[in-house]
Amino acid sequence: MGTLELKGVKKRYPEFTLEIDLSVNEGEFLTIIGPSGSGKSTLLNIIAGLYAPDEGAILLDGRDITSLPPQKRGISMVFQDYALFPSMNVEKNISYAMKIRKVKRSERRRQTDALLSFVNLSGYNRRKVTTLSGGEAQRVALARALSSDPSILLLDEPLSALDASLRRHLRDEVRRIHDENPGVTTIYVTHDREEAFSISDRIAIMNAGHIEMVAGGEEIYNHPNSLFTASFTGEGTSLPAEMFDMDVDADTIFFRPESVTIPQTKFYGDADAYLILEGVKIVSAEFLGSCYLLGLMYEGHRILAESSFRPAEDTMTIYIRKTRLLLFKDGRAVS
Amino acid sequence: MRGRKRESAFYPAMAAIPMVLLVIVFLLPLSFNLARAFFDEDGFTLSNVKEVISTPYTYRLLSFTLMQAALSSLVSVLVALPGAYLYANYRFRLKRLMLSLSSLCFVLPSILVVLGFVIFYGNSGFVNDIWRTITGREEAIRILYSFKAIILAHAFLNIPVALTLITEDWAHTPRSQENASYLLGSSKVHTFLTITLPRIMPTVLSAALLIFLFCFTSFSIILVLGGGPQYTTLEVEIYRTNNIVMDSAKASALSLFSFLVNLVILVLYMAVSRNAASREKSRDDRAVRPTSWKTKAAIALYNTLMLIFMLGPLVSILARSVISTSSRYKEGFSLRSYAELFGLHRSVGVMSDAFQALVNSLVIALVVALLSTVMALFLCLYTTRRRSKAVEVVGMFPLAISSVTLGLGYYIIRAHIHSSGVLAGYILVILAHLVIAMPFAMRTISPVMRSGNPRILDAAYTLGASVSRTCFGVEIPMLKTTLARAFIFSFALSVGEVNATLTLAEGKVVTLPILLYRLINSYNYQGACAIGSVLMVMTFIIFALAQAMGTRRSNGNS
Repeated sequence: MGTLELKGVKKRYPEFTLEIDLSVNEGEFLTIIGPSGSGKSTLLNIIAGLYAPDEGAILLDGRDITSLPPQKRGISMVFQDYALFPSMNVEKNISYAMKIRKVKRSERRRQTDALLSFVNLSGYNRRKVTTLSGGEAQRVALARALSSDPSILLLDEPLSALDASLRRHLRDEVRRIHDENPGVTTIYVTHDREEAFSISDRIAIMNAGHIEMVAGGEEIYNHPNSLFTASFTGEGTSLPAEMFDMDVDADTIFFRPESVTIPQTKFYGDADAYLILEGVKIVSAEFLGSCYLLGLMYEGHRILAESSFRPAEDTMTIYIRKTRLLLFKDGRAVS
Repeated sequence: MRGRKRESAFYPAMAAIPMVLLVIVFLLPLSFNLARAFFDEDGFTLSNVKEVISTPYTYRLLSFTLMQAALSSLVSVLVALPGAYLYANYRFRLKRLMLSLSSLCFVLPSILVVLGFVIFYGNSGFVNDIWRTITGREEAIRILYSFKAIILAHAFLNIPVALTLITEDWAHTPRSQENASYLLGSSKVHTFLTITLPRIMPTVLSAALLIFLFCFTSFSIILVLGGGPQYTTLEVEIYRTNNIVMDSAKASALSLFSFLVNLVILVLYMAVSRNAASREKSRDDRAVRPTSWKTKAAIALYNTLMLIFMLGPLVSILARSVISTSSRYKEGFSLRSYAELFGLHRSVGVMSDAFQALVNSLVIALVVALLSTVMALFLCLYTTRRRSKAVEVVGMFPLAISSVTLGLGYYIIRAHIHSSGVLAGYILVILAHLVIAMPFAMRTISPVMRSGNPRILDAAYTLGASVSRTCFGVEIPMLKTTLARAFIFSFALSVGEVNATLTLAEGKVVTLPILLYRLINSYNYQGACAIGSVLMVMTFIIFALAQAMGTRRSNGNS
């Protein structure tokens, strides 16, 4: 239960068009990241049935649910601003879906208690939802979403309203909840790439209404299929390929800061395995704790490099490992 | 939220009935008015309208109406401005109470103000009693039944309006702009003139125009306190032409004329107030504790004068309600009027209707409040979904059409259906009150609904709740306190309404304010004050309830 397929789903807006093909496996934790306005939330709303697509089909376990109303899809959603019912207390919020399904009162109570203890909020039954803190409210929202026994759980930037340390903690909690509900497919929207890397089985990168790439975190970081994916998933430098005498069919080369080596004394590596840039000037040095992030200037181009020390000289030679270079033509990866 | 799933038929269906009813109750009297002005037994005629717009008398009325409204508005704003400065910039005891007292005047029936003025400022009123005691002179200061009485009464009703509106805006003006100006080397006076004043000016103008609008259609104050033909406004003339001269055709033509002028002022007001509404507001309170003795003295002085001015007439009503001056009964302390009012004591004359009037008022107000709240709720549920401007337009109805014009419309309808039945009278009064109350109910509900979170409903849908179930189980319960406020305001408006009721059903349906008006006319001040006191206490309770709910709601949100 919980295999989702979107086939040629299209939704047109005056300013952009959403066009999605995507399949999510049962029990998978898929994260959607992308810049704001790329259509992440719209996509979730279409999956939930709150928006109707103009074209295409949505299949849940092979069944076409495109025309089903949100009530009949068995898909739950957790909202960024929690969207708890303010006129009901915690218990009533959580048991709402069960009440609609006419679950017996005693059973409702038992399940509500179980869900509350599951999200570490035992004893909160009678609390007014307006008195909850952000973190508590989000846990109640999670419990409520799980109460309808969904096959798919959608989370729309659920942690973005919380502060950093709480966000970290709840992030692990969300993953735990996913793991302890086998069979539930989770689709999680965020704009925080660190969150995406730490929590997901697979990540979908969205850009301007379409999906750029869907893959595991490592794959996306190390082998991005497009320049957009490369620069959206982490720091890096792109340089025109023609600056270097390389026999490749590409217009841009891209590399991560950690692919740059700055020798502290003499360089001992195999010079052929590296791209060697001489006369590089240091513009800035940012201390990140574990290392320095250096801003360099080479022939009018800015280069980001990681270094374990702060270079003493203003001008130096840097080495970029060739195997770590990513090559792009017209924004797409070339191998 | 864009691109909704499917348009549910639920909300349009629920809104259809109130929509139709609204059109009927509002447009019907207006069109009957039009018909009466343009048609006589021989068919279409322009003679009524021609007569109205060609007589110099109409323009004399118009210029007086405009003049008294302008003067009332000017006086109200000028008196309110220093107060607004003190209230917005300083924190002191009594501030909350004073501001509450001010907003109370929004729901105070104007006939009550009339009564308060008669008792407080009248020839044998409290002011003159004190004057005689102090000076030992026999002749009284003549305040009532003059031009200044009209302005004074309008100021009484509207200074609080200006004070509340301007204070509200000023208090939420961020201090940072002024501080920035000081740091750039600008003096206090220069900063006030170049930074503060331009910032609050749109609100001052908008308040002034709103008061102008209120005073333009003011009725009972002019009718009683003006005291003569030389101080007659358009509204009073419409009433006189219809109910005393019995020429409803001419009254209709006059009411159309007044309606058009009113519309122009309304458009002006809307243009100005849009300007006032579209600015950023700081959530912080800019008020500080006063430190200099001058400021403290100014606050004390302003508050004392305001308290005397506001409470004087109201307290007089309470006091006078237990003083009998009738030589037929014993002079001095007496609860006789209350006994008559609550039906404990049989009485003769005007007071014999008292108990019936109390019952009428309560029944009518309850029905009106219930209908108005439910109708406004379902209209708002629909219009906020459609993001339509309809609410704003409907919300302006009571300002666009004066209640005398409305009453006249229903009066003509009543004449048309040839019904002298009591029930028809009640129904028409209820409908007229509904037109007055419902827009206010909509303006109470609509902003709260609009600021609500639509995701909450989405959450209910994804949990399996149907559209109707979500509406009744989630959406409406969220509006509980707002609905109660709408109900209370509608009740207050209906219970204090005098203009439309008087024009529409004089003598047929007696409510407390109507009876109050008659008692003033027949110089039974004790009876009038007993009724006034009951009205006042009801208003107080209603107001306190609404205030309590308001604070509970804002606490819940924070």
